[in-house]
Amino acid sequence: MNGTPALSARNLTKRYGPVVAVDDFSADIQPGEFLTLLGPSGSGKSTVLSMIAGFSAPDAGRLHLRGQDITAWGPEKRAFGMVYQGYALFPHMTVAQNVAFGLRMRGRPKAQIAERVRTVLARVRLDGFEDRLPRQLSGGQQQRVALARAIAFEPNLLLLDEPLSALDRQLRSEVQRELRELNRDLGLTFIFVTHDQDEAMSLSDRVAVMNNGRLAQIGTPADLYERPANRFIAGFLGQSNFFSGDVEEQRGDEVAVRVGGLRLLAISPERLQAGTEVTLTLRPERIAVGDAARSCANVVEGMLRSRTYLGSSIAIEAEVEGIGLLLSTAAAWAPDGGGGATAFGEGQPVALGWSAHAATLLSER
Amino acid sequence: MGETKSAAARTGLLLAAPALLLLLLFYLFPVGRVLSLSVLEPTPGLGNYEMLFTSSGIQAVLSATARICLITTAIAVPLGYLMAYVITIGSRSMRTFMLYGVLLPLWVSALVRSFVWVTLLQRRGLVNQFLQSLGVIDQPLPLIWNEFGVIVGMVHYMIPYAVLPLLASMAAIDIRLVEAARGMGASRGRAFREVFLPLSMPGIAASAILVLILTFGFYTTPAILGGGRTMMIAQYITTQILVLPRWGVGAMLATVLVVVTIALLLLLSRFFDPSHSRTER
Ligand SMILES: Nc1ncnc2c1ncn2[C@@H]1O[C@H](COP(=O)(O)OP(=O)(O)OP(=O)(O)O)[C@@H](O)[C@H]1O
Ligand SMILES: [Mg+2]
Repeated sequence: MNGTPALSARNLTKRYGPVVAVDDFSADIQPGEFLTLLGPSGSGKSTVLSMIAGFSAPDAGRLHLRGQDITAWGPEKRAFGMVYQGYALFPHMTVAQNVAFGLRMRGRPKAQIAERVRTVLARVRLDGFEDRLPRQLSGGQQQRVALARAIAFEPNLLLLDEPLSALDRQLRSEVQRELRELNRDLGLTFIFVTHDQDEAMSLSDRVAVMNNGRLAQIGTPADLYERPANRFIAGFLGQSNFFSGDVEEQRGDEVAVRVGGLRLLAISPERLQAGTEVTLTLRPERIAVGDAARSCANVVEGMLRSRTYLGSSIAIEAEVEGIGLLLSTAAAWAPDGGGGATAFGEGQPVALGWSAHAATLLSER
Repeated sequence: MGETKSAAARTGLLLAAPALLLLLLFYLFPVGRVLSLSVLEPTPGLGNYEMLFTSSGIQAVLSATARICLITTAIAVPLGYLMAYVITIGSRSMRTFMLYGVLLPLWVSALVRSFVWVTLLQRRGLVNQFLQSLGVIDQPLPLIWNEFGVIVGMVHYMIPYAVLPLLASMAAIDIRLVEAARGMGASRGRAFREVFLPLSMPGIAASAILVLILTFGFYTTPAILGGGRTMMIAQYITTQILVLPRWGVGAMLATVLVVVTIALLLLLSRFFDPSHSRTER
């Protein structure tokens, strides 16, 4: 991961009138990396992408391509491949002409263009579709043409703005695999935009999560899930329980936090003053339910409010005095052949427990 | 299914019947009458139509009309294209300003506009005086009472009609297509030529045909700015019918005008077909 980054964004900022679409965005993308920009609608993902592609000029900040400042370059000089949401295929050109466009703009010889178009179309399994117009293709086929067009001229970087959002589930996972293969086989650097967190987690080397135009956190999927930097990330990626409390004392790494009338243990490498206001975040799947809970560092008693069968697991909501509703997920099928969490009945008391390592401490309320 | 459909069609026809009758009575019937005069007056037969090939006067009028209309179209459409393009890609304030600039003249009658051009273009008009005061010319230029004056007035009149179909067709172009072309290495000019221009082609065709149709029937502007020396078909027909009167010749030329207009309209309808003008998304 060391050496000169393939692309380096430094403090990119973009305003539209009073709206700050992107605020102080910085990130380094390593060669061959698959980086995903993830965030809710309107968080500035497309704006970042369009500044990288050169379609809109940042109000502040700089862009470096392998160490070279390219902030002032036009899009045609940057030569990044781009796949648009909705694909933006040229409707008046055939599939082959669409794919050949970038090569033609670079003045490649005709024979070489034809050869390359053939190779790339075969790569996305669209041989035989050369002479069709985009409107004569299905959504998935159009998507593949857009991909072929973007990689045909061997760009430095591939930018993809929600390329899969129009595809159905099955096609989507197929294309996801193809994208990963493309990333590996060609060593091409990917910047991929999505608002689907599962897609982001399963595809990416690293994920940059955006919120309100700001970069909330950047890291590997595991980093983000295991060690969310703030409440937004913890709530946006997967589900989390949040408890607000005050630090009571710290012994080594172990911190005791008073939440309501409860004393809960968590781990923090940071030194925290007694009385510091903190938020504990706890993933539902890290909570043990029933007898298994008894042996945990943190045990609370609750009243089971609802039980939702999810197939592979069961979601349990329990009312715990002092902290409110606690969401946990448990296996629906116990290894000993028993009913797992189905054994717990609604309206009955239930024990819930988790280890000190299970919760993450955030120094914000 | 088929029955309900035909029943619906019958109801529709019934509802439209009064309007259709009115149209038939007050529009199609008189027009048909007039056009039929072309084969009835002064004697039944195609004599009037023979004049298309024999009368040098009529041929001169027709060729002047065709020339003026084509030149007007050839100037008005590119100008309109430029305006529609600026309106389409311009900032919001620019767009509003330009749109008003294009549409406002529609509220000023052709008569008033022609007289404004007279004050500008005549021998001692503003343009000639200005050029003389600069010393660019010694003698006033003949800017009016000729084809030049007619074309200036007609182009000016036609600009909004050229702009509107172009605007509609450009609004349907996904601007990201131009971006995509740029991102793949096309310069601004190249992206315009390869993507925007071909996609706006249906608009260009529609605009050109609309302007052509409208210019054929022009009466006021050529009558005033042509000063009687440049005669176009509409004015010629008026003279035939009201002054001479030679109903047969006038009706024959009117028929020619109607046939050409209908042919152009058929061509035009092709370009307003959705499958021709809409970009795929
Ligand atoms: N051309 C523009 N003019 C004005 N505001 C804009 C423009 N483009 C984007 N914005 C604003 O900037 C913010 C970020 O927009 P952006 O398109 O980058 O969001 P996004 O994260 O891509 O959202 P989505 O997931 O819905 O595509 C939004 O508040 C949007 O309204
Ligand atoms: Mg977007």
